[in-house]
Amino acid sequence: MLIICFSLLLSFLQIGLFGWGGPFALLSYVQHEVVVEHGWLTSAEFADVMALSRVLPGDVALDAAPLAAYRVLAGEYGTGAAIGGIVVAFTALAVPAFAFSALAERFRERLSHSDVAESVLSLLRPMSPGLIAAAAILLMNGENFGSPTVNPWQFGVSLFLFLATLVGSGYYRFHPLFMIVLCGLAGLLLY
Amino acid sequence: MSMSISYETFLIFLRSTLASVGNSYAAVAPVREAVVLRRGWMTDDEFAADLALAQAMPGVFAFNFGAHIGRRVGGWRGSVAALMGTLLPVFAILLVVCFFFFNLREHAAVRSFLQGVRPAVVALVVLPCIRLGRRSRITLSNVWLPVMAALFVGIMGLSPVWLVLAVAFFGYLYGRYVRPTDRPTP
Repeated sequence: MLIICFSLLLSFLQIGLFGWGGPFALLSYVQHEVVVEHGWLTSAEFADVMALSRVLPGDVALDAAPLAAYRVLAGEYGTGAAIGGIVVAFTALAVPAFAFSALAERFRERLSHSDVAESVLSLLRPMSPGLIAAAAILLMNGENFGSPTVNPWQFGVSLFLFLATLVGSGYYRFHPLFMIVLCGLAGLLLY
Repeated sequence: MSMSISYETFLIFLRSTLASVGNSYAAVAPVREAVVLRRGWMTDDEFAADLALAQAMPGVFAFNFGAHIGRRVGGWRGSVAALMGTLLPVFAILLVVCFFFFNLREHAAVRSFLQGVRPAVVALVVLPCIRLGRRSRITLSNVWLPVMAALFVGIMGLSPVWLVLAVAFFGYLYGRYVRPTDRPTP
Protein backbone atom coordinates (compact mmCIF):
# COMPACT_ATOMS: atom_id res chain seq x y z
CA MET A 1 0.00 0.00 0.00
CA LEU A 2 2.86 2.33 0.77
CA ILE A 3 4.21 1.67 -2.68
CA ILE A 4 0.92 2.79 -4.16
CA CYS A 5 0.91 5.95 -2.05
CA PHE A 6 4.45 6.65 -3.09
CA SER A 7 3.45 6.15 -6.71
CA LEU A 8 0.60 8.57 -6.28
CA LEU A 9 2.92 11.07 -4.65
CA LEU A 10 5.49 10.83 -7.41
CA SER A 11 2.98 11.02 -10.22
CA PHE A 12 1.08 14.01 -8.95
CA LEU A 13 4.26 15.76 -7.92
CA GLN A 14 5.42 15.50 -11.50
CA ILE A 15 2.10 16.84 -12.71
CA GLY A 16 2.26 19.76 -10.32
CA LEU A 17 5.89 20.58 -11.06
CA PHE A 18 6.12 20.04 -14.79
CA GLY A 19 2.56 20.18 -16.01
CA TRP A 20 3.00 23.15 -18.27
CA GLY A 21 0.67 24.45 -20.91
CA GLY A 22 -2.64 25.39 -19.35
CA PRO A 23 -5.49 23.30 -17.97
CA PHE A 24 -6.13 21.35 -21.14
CA ALA A 25 -2.52 20.50 -21.73
CA LEU A 26 -2.36 19.53 -18.06
CA LEU A 27 -4.97 16.98 -18.99
CA SER A 28 -2.44 15.03 -21.03
CA TYR A 29 0.00 14.87 -18.12
CA VAL A 30 -2.70 13.58 -15.81
CA GLN A 31 -3.98 11.19 -18.43
CA HIS A 32 -0.52 9.77 -19.00
CA GLU A 33 0.08 9.09 -15.34
CA VAL A 34 -3.38 7.94 -14.39
CA VAL A 35 -4.47 5.97 -17.45
CA VAL A 36 -1.46 5.10 -19.58
CA GLU A 37 1.33 4.65 -17.09
CA HIS A 38 -0.34 3.29 -13.97
CA GLY A 39 -3.82 2.30 -15.11
CA TRP A 40 -5.48 3.73 -12.02
CA LEU A 41 -8.46 4.69 -14.14
CA THR A 42 -9.54 3.21 -17.43
CA SER A 43 -9.87 5.48 -20.42
CA ALA A 44 -13.65 5.37 -20.13
CA GLU A 45 -13.53 6.23 -16.44
CA PHE A 46 -11.18 9.08 -17.20
CA ALA A 47 -13.55 10.42 -19.83
CA ASP A 48 -16.39 10.22 -17.30
CA VAL A 49 -14.31 12.14 -14.78
CA MET A 50 -13.70 14.80 -17.40
CA ALA A 51 -17.42 15.15 -17.91
CA LEU A 52 -18.07 15.18 -14.18
CA SER A 53 -15.47 17.88 -13.56
CA ARG A 54 -17.71 20.30 -15.45
CA VAL A 55 -20.10 20.23 -12.52
CA LEU A 56 -17.46 20.02 -9.82
CA PRO A 57 -15.17 22.77 -8.54
CA GLY A 58 -11.63 22.58 -9.79
CA ASP A 59 -10.22 21.57 -13.14
CA VAL A 60 -9.94 18.04 -14.43
CA ALA A 61 -6.51 17.35 -12.99
CA LEU A 62 -7.70 18.35 -9.55
CA ASP A 63 -10.81 16.20 -9.82
CA ALA A 64 -9.09 13.20 -11.34
CA ALA A 65 -6.52 12.97 -8.55
CA PRO A 66 -8.81 11.91 -5.70
CA LEU A 67 -10.84 9.62 -7.93
CA ALA A 68 -7.73 7.84 -9.12
CA ALA A 69 -6.43 7.53 -5.56
CA TYR A 70 -9.75 6.26 -4.31
CA ARG A 71 -10.10 3.77 -7.12
CA VAL A 72 -6.70 2.26 -6.60
CA LEU A 73 -6.85 2.08 -2.82
CA ALA A 74 -10.42 1.66 -1.65
CA GLY A 75 -11.00 -1.77 -3.11
CA GLU A 76 -8.15 -3.57 -1.42
CA TYR A 77 -7.28 -1.41 1.53
CA GLY A 78 -10.50 0.22 2.59
CA THR A 79 -11.80 3.73 2.91
CA GLY A 80 -9.25 4.96 5.42
CA ALA A 81 -6.37 4.17 3.11
CA ALA A 82 -8.25 5.72 0.22
CA ILE A 83 -8.66 8.97 2.11
CA GLY A 84 -4.97 8.90 2.93
CA GLY A 85 -4.21 8.44 -0.74
CA ILE A 86 -6.43 11.37 -1.64
CA VAL A 87 -4.59 13.54 0.86
CA VAL A 88 -1.27 12.45 -0.62
CA ALA A 89 -2.40 13.26 -4.15
CA PHE A 90 -3.72 16.69 -3.22
CA THR A 91 -0.59 17.53 -1.25
CA ALA A 92 1.59 16.49 -4.17
CA LEU A 93 -0.35 18.88 -6.39
CA ALA A 94 -0.41 21.76 -3.94
CA VAL A 95 3.20 21.81 -2.76
CA PRO A 96 4.68 22.81 -6.14
CA ALA A 97 2.25 25.71 -6.32
CA PHE A 98 3.42 26.85 -2.91
CA ALA A 99 7.06 26.49 -3.94
CA PHE A 100 6.49 28.41 -7.16
CA SER A 101 4.88 31.25 -5.28
CA ALA A 102 7.91 31.43 -3.04
CA LEU A 103 10.34 31.52 -5.94
CA ALA A 104 8.31 33.69 -8.28
CA GLU A 105 9.05 36.91 -6.51
CA ARG A 106 12.76 36.42 -6.73
CA PHE A 107 12.91 35.21 -10.29
CA ARG A 108 10.22 37.29 -11.90
CA GLU A 109 12.52 40.21 -12.71
CA ARG A 110 15.34 38.08 -14.02
CA LEU A 111 13.07 35.91 -16.11
CA SER A 112 11.15 38.67 -17.81
CA HIS A 113 14.33 39.95 -19.44
CA SER A 114 15.95 36.62 -20.02
CA ASP A 115 16.70 35.44 -23.53
CA VAL A 116 17.01 31.90 -22.33
CA ALA A 117 13.52 31.98 -20.87
CA GLU A 118 12.21 33.42 -24.10
CA SER A 119 13.80 30.71 -26.20
CA VAL A 120 12.49 28.00 -23.87
CA LEU A 121 9.00 29.44 -24.00
CA SER A 122 9.14 29.82 -27.75
CA LEU A 123 9.55 26.07 -27.94
CA LEU A 124 7.06 25.16 -25.23
CA ARG A 125 4.25 27.40 -26.38
CA PRO A 126 3.67 25.84 -29.77
CA MET A 127 3.92 22.43 -28.17
CA SER A 128 0.88 22.91 -25.93
CA PRO A 129 -1.79 22.35 -28.57
CA GLY A 130 0.12 19.21 -29.50
CA LEU A 131 -0.23 17.97 -25.95
CA ILE A 132 -3.95 18.65 -25.99
CA ALA A 133 -4.16 16.79 -29.28
CA ALA A 134 -2.32 13.91 -27.62
CA ALA A 135 -4.93 13.81 -24.88
CA ALA A 136 -7.66 13.70 -27.49
CA ILE A 137 -5.89 10.97 -29.44
CA LEU A 138 -5.51 8.83 -26.34
CA LEU A 139 -9.22 9.17 -25.73
CA MET A 140 -10.16 8.00 -29.20
CA ASN A 141 -10.37 4.32 -28.56
CA GLY A 142 -12.83 1.47 -28.45
CA GLU A 143 -13.85 2.13 -24.87
CA ASN A 144 -15.09 5.55 -25.62
CA PHE A 145 -16.40 5.18 -29.11
CA GLY A 146 -17.08 1.53 -29.61
CA SER A 147 -15.36 -0.28 -32.43
CA PRO A 148 -16.69 -0.35 -35.97
CA THR A 149 -16.36 -4.12 -36.13
CA VAL A 150 -17.64 -5.21 -32.73
CA ASN A 151 -20.44 -2.75 -32.03
CA PRO A 152 -21.06 -0.64 -35.13
CA TRP A 153 -24.22 0.96 -33.73
CA GLN A 154 -22.31 2.43 -30.81
CA PHE A 155 -19.52 3.47 -33.10
CA GLY A 156 -21.87 5.24 -35.46
CA VAL A 157 -23.77 6.99 -32.70
CA SER A 158 -20.55 8.00 -30.96
CA LEU A 159 -19.15 9.44 -34.15
CA PHE A 160 -22.35 11.39 -34.67
CA LEU A 161 -22.35 12.74 -31.12
CA PHE A 162 -18.68 13.62 -31.43
CA LEU A 163 -19.30 15.66 -34.56
CA ALA A 164 -22.47 17.14 -33.13
CA THR A 165 -20.57 18.40 -30.11
CA LEU A 166 -17.79 19.78 -32.26
CA VAL A 167 -20.25 21.75 -34.32
CA GLY A 168 -22.58 22.62 -31.46
CA SER A 169 -19.96 23.86 -29.07
CA GLY A 170 -17.42 25.02 -31.60
CA TYR A 171 -19.52 26.67 -34.23
CA TYR A 172 -22.79 27.46 -32.51
CA ARG A 173 -21.09 28.19 -29.19
CA PHE A 174 -23.44 26.11 -27.10
CA HIS A 175 -22.34 25.72 -23.52
CA PRO A 176 -20.26 22.56 -23.07
CA LEU A 177 -22.44 21.31 -20.25
CA PHE A 178 -25.48 21.66 -22.47
CA MET A 179 -23.83 19.49 -25.13
CA ILE A 180 -22.79 16.95 -22.51
CA VAL A 181 -26.31 16.60 -21.15
CA LEU A 182 -27.72 16.45 -24.66
CA CYS A 183 -25.36 13.69 -25.66
CA GLY A 184 -26.07 11.86 -22.44
CA LEU A 185 -29.78 11.96 -23.13
CA ALA A 186 -29.11 10.74 -26.63
CA GLY A 187 -27.17 7.89 -25.07
CA LEU A 188 -30.12 7.04 -22.83
CA LEU A 189 -32.45 6.95 -25.80
CA LEU A 190 -30.24 5.16 -28.26
CA TYR A 191 -28.41 2.60 -26.15
CA MET B 1 -3.11 40.42 13.22
CA SER B 2 -1.63 38.09 10.68
CA MET B 3 -3.82 35.26 11.96
CA SER B 4 -7.00 37.02 11.01
CA ILE B 5 -5.70 37.95 7.55
CA SER B 6 -4.87 34.32 6.98
CA TYR B 7 -8.30 33.27 8.14
CA GLU B 8 -9.99 35.81 5.91
CA THR B 9 -7.88 34.71 2.98
CA PHE B 10 -8.89 31.15 3.68
CA LEU B 11 -12.56 32.12 3.63
CA ILE B 12 -12.20 34.17 0.47
CA PHE B 13 -10.70 31.27 -1.43
CA LEU B 14 -13.15 28.83 0.09
CA ARG B 15 -16.08 30.82 -1.23
CA SER B 16 -14.48 31.56 -4.58
CA THR B 17 -13.64 27.91 -5.19
CA LEU B 18 -17.21 26.91 -4.42
CA ALA B 19 -18.33 29.49 -6.95
CA SER B 20 -15.96 28.16 -9.59
CA VAL B 21 -17.91 25.03 -10.42
CA GLY B 22 -16.75 23.46 -13.65
CA ASN B 23 -14.27 26.15 -14.56
CA SER B 24 -11.42 27.04 -12.27
CA TYR B 25 -10.93 30.44 -13.88
CA ALA B 26 -14.30 31.45 -12.49
CA ALA B 27 -12.66 31.77 -9.08
CA VAL B 28 -10.61 34.74 -10.31
CA ALA B 29 -13.40 37.30 -10.32
CA PRO B 30 -14.68 36.70 -6.77
CA VAL B 31 -11.15 36.72 -5.40
CA ARG B 32 -10.39 39.94 -7.22
CA GLU B 33 -13.55 41.50 -5.89
CA ALA B 34 -12.77 40.50 -2.33
CA VAL B 35 -9.06 41.22 -2.32
CA VAL B 36 -8.69 44.24 -4.58
CA LEU B 37 -12.02 45.99 -4.55
CA ARG B 38 -13.45 45.34 -1.15
CA ARG B 39 -10.40 45.08 1.03
CA GLY B 40 -7.76 46.88 -0.98
CA TRP B 41 -5.08 44.38 -0.04
CA MET B 42 -3.45 44.89 -3.40
CA THR B 43 -3.87 47.03 -6.47
CA ASP B 44 -5.49 45.84 -9.66
CA ASP B 45 -2.11 45.95 -11.39
CA GLU B 46 -0.54 43.76 -8.76
CA PHE B 47 -3.45 41.38 -9.02
CA ALA B 48 -3.14 41.23 -12.79
CA ALA B 49 0.59 40.58 -12.50
CA ASP B 50 0.04 37.71 -10.07
CA LEU B 51 -2.72 36.30 -12.24
CA ALA B 52 -0.47 36.33 -15.29
CA LEU B 53 2.27 34.64 -13.29
CA ALA B 54 -0.08 31.98 -11.99
CA GLN B 55 -1.27 31.24 -15.50
CA ALA B 56 2.30 30.88 -16.72
CA MET B 57 3.27 28.39 -14.03
CA PRO B 58 3.00 24.65 -14.48
CA GLY B 59 0.54 22.62 -12.48
CA VAL B 60 -2.99 23.19 -11.34
CA PHE B 61 -4.09 26.75 -12.04
CA ALA B 62 -6.37 26.98 -9.00
CA PHE B 63 -3.47 26.15 -6.71
CA ASN B 64 -1.01 28.46 -8.40
CA PHE B 65 -3.52 31.27 -8.30
CA GLY B 66 -4.24 30.73 -4.61
CA ALA B 67 -0.60 30.38 -3.69
CA HIS B 68 0.48 33.55 -5.50
CA ILE B 69 -2.33 35.81 -4.39
CA GLY B 70 -2.16 34.42 -0.88
CA ARG B 71 1.54 35.11 -0.70
CA ARG B 72 1.08 38.66 -1.88
CA VAL B 73 -1.58 39.18 0.75
CA GLY B 74 0.03 37.53 3.72
CA GLY B 75 3.38 35.91 3.05
CA TRP B 76 3.74 32.17 3.29
CA ARG B 77 0.90 31.97 5.79
CA GLY B 78 -1.42 33.68 3.34
CA SER B 79 -0.25 31.29 0.67
CA VAL B 80 -1.05 28.27 2.82
CA ALA B 81 -4.38 29.76 3.87
CA ALA B 82 -5.39 30.34 0.27
CA LEU B 83 -4.36 26.81 -0.69
CA MET B 84 -6.34 25.37 2.20
CA GLY B 85 -9.34 27.41 1.20
CA THR B 86 -9.09 26.06 -2.31
CA LEU B 87 -8.49 22.49 -1.19
CA LEU B 88 -11.18 22.12 1.43
CA PRO B 89 -14.31 22.33 -0.75
CA VAL B 90 -12.69 20.22 -3.46
CA PHE B 91 -11.66 17.61 -0.93
CA ALA B 92 -15.05 17.45 0.76
CA ILE B 93 -17.11 17.38 -2.42
CA LEU B 94 -14.88 14.90 -4.17
CA LEU B 95 -14.84 12.59 -1.19
CA VAL B 96 -18.59 12.28 -1.50
CA VAL B 97 -18.32 11.87 -5.26
CA CYS B 98 -15.77 9.08 -4.86
CA PHE B 99 -18.17 7.05 -2.77
CA PHE B 100 -20.92 7.19 -5.34
CA PHE B 101 -19.12 7.54 -8.63
CA PHE B 102 -17.91 4.01 -9.15
CA ASN B 103 -21.13 2.45 -7.92
CA LEU B 104 -23.43 4.66 -9.95
CA ARG B 105 -21.51 3.87 -13.09
CA GLU B 106 -22.73 0.30 -12.89
CA HIS B 107 -26.40 1.14 -13.37
CA ALA B 108 -27.71 0.53 -16.84
CA ALA B 109 -29.26 3.96 -17.27
CA VAL B 110 -26.13 5.72 -16.06
CA ARG B 111 -24.02 3.56 -18.33
CA SER B 112 -26.04 4.52 -21.37
CA PHE B 113 -25.98 8.17 -20.41
CA LEU B 114 -22.22 8.11 -19.96
CA GLN B 115 -21.71 6.19 -23.17
CA GLY B 116 -23.37 9.08 -24.96
CA VAL B 117 -21.34 11.63 -23.04
CA ARG B 118 -17.94 10.16 -23.79
CA PRO B 119 -17.60 11.18 -27.44
CA ALA B 120 -18.85 14.64 -26.43
CA VAL B 121 -16.06 14.88 -23.91
CA VAL B 122 -13.50 14.00 -26.56
CA ALA B 123 -14.92 16.68 -28.85
CA LEU B 124 -14.68 19.15 -25.98
CA VAL B 125 -10.97 18.42 -25.84
CA VAL B 126 -10.47 18.76 -29.59
CA LEU B 127 -12.00 22.24 -29.54
CA PRO B 128 -9.53 23.91 -27.15
CA CYS B 129 -6.78 22.17 -29.07
CA ILE B 130 -7.89 23.93 -32.24
CA ARG B 131 -8.44 27.21 -30.44
CA LEU B 132 -5.09 27.16 -28.73
CA GLY B 133 -3.48 26.13 -31.98
CA ARG B 134 -4.84 29.21 -33.67
CA ARG B 135 -3.63 31.46 -30.88
CA SER B 136 -0.19 29.95 -30.54
CA ARG B 137 1.33 31.48 -33.65
CA ILE B 138 2.24 28.15 -35.09
CA THR B 139 4.12 28.52 -38.35
CA LEU B 140 5.63 26.07 -40.79
CA SER B 141 8.90 26.40 -38.94
CA ASN B 142 7.61 25.25 -35.57
CA VAL B 143 4.64 23.05 -36.42
CA TRP B 144 6.91 20.09 -35.87
CA LEU B 145 6.72 20.79 -32.15
CA PRO B 146 3.02 20.13 -31.59
CA VAL B 147 3.09 17.33 -34.14
CA MET B 148 5.97 15.74 -32.29
CA ALA B 149 4.15 16.16 -28.99
CA ALA B 150 0.97 14.60 -30.36
CA LEU B 151 3.00 11.74 -31.79
CA PHE B 152 5.14 11.02 -28.76
CA VAL B 153 2.49 11.43 -26.12
CA GLY B 154 -0.68 10.54 -27.98
CA ILE B 155 0.44 7.69 -30.16
CA MET B 156 3.58 6.34 -28.57
CA GLY B 157 2.35 6.92 -25.05
CA LEU B 158 5.49 8.61 -23.79
CA SER B 159 5.38 10.85 -20.77
CA PRO B 160 4.72 14.52 -21.49
CA VAL B 161 6.87 15.36 -18.48
CA TRP B 162 10.00 14.02 -20.13
CA LEU B 163 9.05 15.64 -23.40
CA VAL B 164 8.62 19.04 -21.80
CA LEU B 165 11.85 18.69 -19.84
CA ALA B 166 13.77 17.66 -22.95
CA VAL B 167 12.35 20.49 -25.02
CA ALA B 168 12.97 23.00 -22.25
CA PHE B 169 16.53 21.75 -21.94
CA PHE B 170 17.17 22.19 -25.66
CA GLY B 171 15.60 25.61 -25.46
CA TYR B 172 17.92 26.45 -22.64
CA LEU B 173 20.99 25.26 -24.53
CA TYR B 174 19.90 27.12 -27.62
CA GLY B 175 19.18 30.31 -25.74
CA ARG B 176 22.36 30.14 -23.77
CA TYR B 177 24.90 29.10 -26.35
CA VAL B 178 23.53 29.48 -29.84
CA ARG B 179 21.39 32.60 -29.84
CA PRO B 180 23.87 35.00 -28.26
CA THR B 181 26.43 34.26 -30.95
CA ASP B 182 23.91 35.24 -33.62
CA ARG B 183 23.63 38.71 -32.28
CA PRO B 184 26.27 41.27 -33.25
CA THR B 185 28.55 42.09 -30.39
CA PRO B 186 27.98 45.61 -29.02
